[in-house]
Amino acid sequence: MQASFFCTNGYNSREALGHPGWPTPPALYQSKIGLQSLNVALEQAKLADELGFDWVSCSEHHYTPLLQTPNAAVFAGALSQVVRKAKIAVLGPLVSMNNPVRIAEELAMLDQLSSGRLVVLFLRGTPNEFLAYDTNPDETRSRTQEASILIIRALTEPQPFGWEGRHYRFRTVSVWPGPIQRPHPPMYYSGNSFESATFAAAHRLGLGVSFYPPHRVAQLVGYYKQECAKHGWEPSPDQLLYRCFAAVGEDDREADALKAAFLGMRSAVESLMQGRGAALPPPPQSQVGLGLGELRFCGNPYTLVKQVTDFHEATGVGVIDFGFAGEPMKSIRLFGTEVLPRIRRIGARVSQPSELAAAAAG
Amino acid sequence: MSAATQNADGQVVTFTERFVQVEGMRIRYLEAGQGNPVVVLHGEGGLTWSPLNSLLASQFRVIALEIPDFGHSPAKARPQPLRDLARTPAEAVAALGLEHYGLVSTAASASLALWQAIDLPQRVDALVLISPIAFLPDGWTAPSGYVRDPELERRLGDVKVATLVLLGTKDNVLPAETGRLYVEQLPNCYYALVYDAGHVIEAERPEALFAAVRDFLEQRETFVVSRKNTIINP
Repeated sequence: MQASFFCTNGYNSREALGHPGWPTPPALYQSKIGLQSLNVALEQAKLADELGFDWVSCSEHHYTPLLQTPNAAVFAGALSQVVRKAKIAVLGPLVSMNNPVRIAEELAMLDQLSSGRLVVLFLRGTPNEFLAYDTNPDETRSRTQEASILIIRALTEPQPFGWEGRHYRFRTVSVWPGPIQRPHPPMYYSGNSFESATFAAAHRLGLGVSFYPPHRVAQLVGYYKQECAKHGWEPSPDQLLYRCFAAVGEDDREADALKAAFLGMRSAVESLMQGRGAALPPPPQSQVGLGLGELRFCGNPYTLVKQVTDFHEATGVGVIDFGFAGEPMKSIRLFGTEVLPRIRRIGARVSQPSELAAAAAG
Repeated sequence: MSAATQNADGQVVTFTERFVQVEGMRIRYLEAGQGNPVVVLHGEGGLTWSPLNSLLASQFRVIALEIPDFGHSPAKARPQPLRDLARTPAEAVAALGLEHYGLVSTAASASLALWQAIDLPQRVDALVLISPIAFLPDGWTAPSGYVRDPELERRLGDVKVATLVLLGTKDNVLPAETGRLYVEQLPNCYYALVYDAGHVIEAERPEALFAAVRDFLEQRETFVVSRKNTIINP
């Protein structure tokens, strides 16, 4: 099992986070707090790296103090300079609403900046975000699919080429610099629906599921694996990614306090679908319990190890991207020292038999 | 015989069946449209109704020639080099009085089109190769209709005319990557991928194919420049 630290770069102000509805007015932004928040986020990322987290992740979100990363590539560029060992996971760019060639160029640069440590997931975006760049929400699924194929092609094609798509036309694509990892960095596709899982399987992309409860994740992963088999391949555990929020305390009482504080912040997450965000219907996943704003794992370090173990056994997921509730520096330290070493071997028997054999021999 | 078809804009395009006498053979061709002449060489399916031809006929004078050995046109004596086979459509076009023209080929007729571009560079203004099967990547299984022509492979550097190669991203007859081989071999070659199309691009994405072919025939090298108007309101 691999662990990723989801570095949200949240803006540290109750006033801004408490603003009802989306978007949050720029008037609430104070540069001193913004800068301070950014520095804290970079410190968190650095600490997670030092403690052995496998990935440090970020993702594109707009017009909200919850995640100050409207351009995930810019933030990932900064991460690449403070995170020295962990992979830099851009999970991900909102490919439905950006120029795919530009995304390919940014990803190639990030792979270069991180000396070949980039991981990427192609995201469609939550409905409120389609308002940011005036994107037709009805087109976002097909835009995401086409853009993803184009990005991969742009990163792998050695000669200038043109693209006659449904949504995109480029007569000259010739990405420079190229990626460090060949043929391209590890890639995932947002897999919160069966349609997305089908697409990911057909294009040999890893699957990234977010927030859903374990039974739903298991359903999606099972379906995805079946689709992969139809296309003649089998995903490895580290191609199964899950993003969620977690709270880890020294003991159960502290964990409960973190949980209470997190649930108090839930309104900030829910506010994304309010205000102008309510102009669009919420994602259909909400009908089956998306789980955005829920704590998937919560407890003392030993409880967390048990929960993560159970989750892996139920779903087969091999990488979990943790967003930490409460005071992230403390949670990162506690997780990194007490939980991470104990979940490292989870799934090893299934996913890395050679490593186990080597460990046994050693 | 005339055949009326509708193009994507709903306009009725009428192709007229005609014949031209070349090298003692009666070569069939279909003609429609007005404007700069475009000669089209068909693929394995022969000279049949083509959505691309119909679309092209809305802006060009389209002459779709039947290659010897296909349909109503008589077979040439076999075996013969592809270069000789390429001479017949070239002579047919000359007999029609066309001094220069855009040349469009599909699949296996790419070899004939390439030879025409090599032997008659003064006549071919622009060359479009759709899903071309003139040569293949190493190790790739040869599809139906493919005849390897080592002499042509040696002469690809002599194709000076602006050339556009188009391949579908879902082509399962030859990999889309084939396009890059043409860019590497031909001195003035562009290649474009038509998203979500298989080997028969015009069957799946005729409008996308037409847009690229039209722009290239009209503008050649400058087809890479976008003139799309993005002003919402003046």
